[in-house]
Amino acid sequence: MNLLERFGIEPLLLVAQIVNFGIILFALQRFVYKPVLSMLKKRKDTIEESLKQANETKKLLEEAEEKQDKIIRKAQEHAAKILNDVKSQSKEVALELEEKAKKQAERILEDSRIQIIQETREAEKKLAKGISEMSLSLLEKSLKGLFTKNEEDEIIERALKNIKRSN
Amino acid sequence: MAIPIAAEPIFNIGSFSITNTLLDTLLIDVLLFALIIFISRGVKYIPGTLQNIVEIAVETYYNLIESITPKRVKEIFPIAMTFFLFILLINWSGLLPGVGTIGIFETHGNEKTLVPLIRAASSDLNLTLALGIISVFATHVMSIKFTGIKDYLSRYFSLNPINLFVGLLEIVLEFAKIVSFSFRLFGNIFAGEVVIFTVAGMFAFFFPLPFMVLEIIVGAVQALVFSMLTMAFMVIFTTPHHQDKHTAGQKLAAAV
Repeated sequence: MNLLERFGIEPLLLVAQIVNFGIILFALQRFVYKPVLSMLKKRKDTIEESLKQANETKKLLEEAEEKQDKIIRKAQEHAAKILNDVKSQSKEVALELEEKAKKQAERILEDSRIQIIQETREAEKKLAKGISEMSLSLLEKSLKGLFTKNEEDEIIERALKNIKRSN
Repeated sequence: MAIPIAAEPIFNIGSFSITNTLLDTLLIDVLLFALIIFISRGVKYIPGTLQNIVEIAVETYYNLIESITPKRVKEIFPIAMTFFLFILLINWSGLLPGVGTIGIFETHGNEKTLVPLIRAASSDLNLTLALGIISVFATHVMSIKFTGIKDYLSRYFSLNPINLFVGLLEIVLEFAKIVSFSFRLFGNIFAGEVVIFTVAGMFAFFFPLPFMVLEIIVGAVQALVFSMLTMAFMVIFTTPHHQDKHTAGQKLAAAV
């Protein structure tokens, strides 16, 4: 007892210190450690989740970019093919049109030639008719008084027959 | 003029005397409760400066204990961390200006002595003994909780005479643990207090500074030692007795 007194140990003070520490332990556990640790865990989980999501997003982005490249490449190939087709088709169309135009021109030329020939023939016929009529009237005028009426008609008739034969 | 081992009473409330070391304990209580109130107002998702400091301390200590005992970290962490925090603040509080130096002069016969109003609480055996008792008691409670009363008692009592003798020694050891816990902390801090008091008595300016730095380190080391030893005993006592022997043997073999 003397030793305890010399070290200043008092049971009441000892109990007070034990109770004091108990209260602090309870309060720290309840109001500091628990919420802080749960918050740390929550934050850790969030960070892990975010990193996971970021990785997934990156992966998705890469996939989307790959897909996009593929689509663009495909579209370019398709466009090139279409362009080639159009070029070859346009050439064909141009050739066809040229051919058609040529044919049409030839036909027009042929038609006009035929028409010219017909018109020339008609003109010749008209000219021949006009000349024969003129010659008849000339013959009639020059035969007047030289021959009788019957002779005159006979000569004209013969002349007419000759003209008809020559036409 | 010397520093007495026992804490000096400042005033009395009935038969209960309030000593200067108890006032220091209350001062640290106020500080810790301020922290508790601040944190209990709401832990924010994006922490501020103080919350950051608390989070760093809690996480570092939690990881340290988890690295040693991943199975029992949830049970051991609160008590080990509280021991560390409480003892650290108490130890360092003795180095604050005014603590141990501001007081009332009392005359005993011809001798005039200074009774400081506040004195480092860990230089009072009442506190260190209380902490030692709590540490050993909590260890035994945990042991019963996790290994069962049968396994717990088999540590001390056996039909085998050699084991029975060893068990008796173990019981003595448990009391020795309390004494070693309390006197280690008390001795270190009290000695530091005496050293600083003596050095400051020789030359008050600059001369005590290196010793104060040393005391800051000693204070932190003692807090860590107390906390780590408590944790180590808890780990040993929460492992079943037969398994404990096996692992102790393995550890010894590894050490050799």
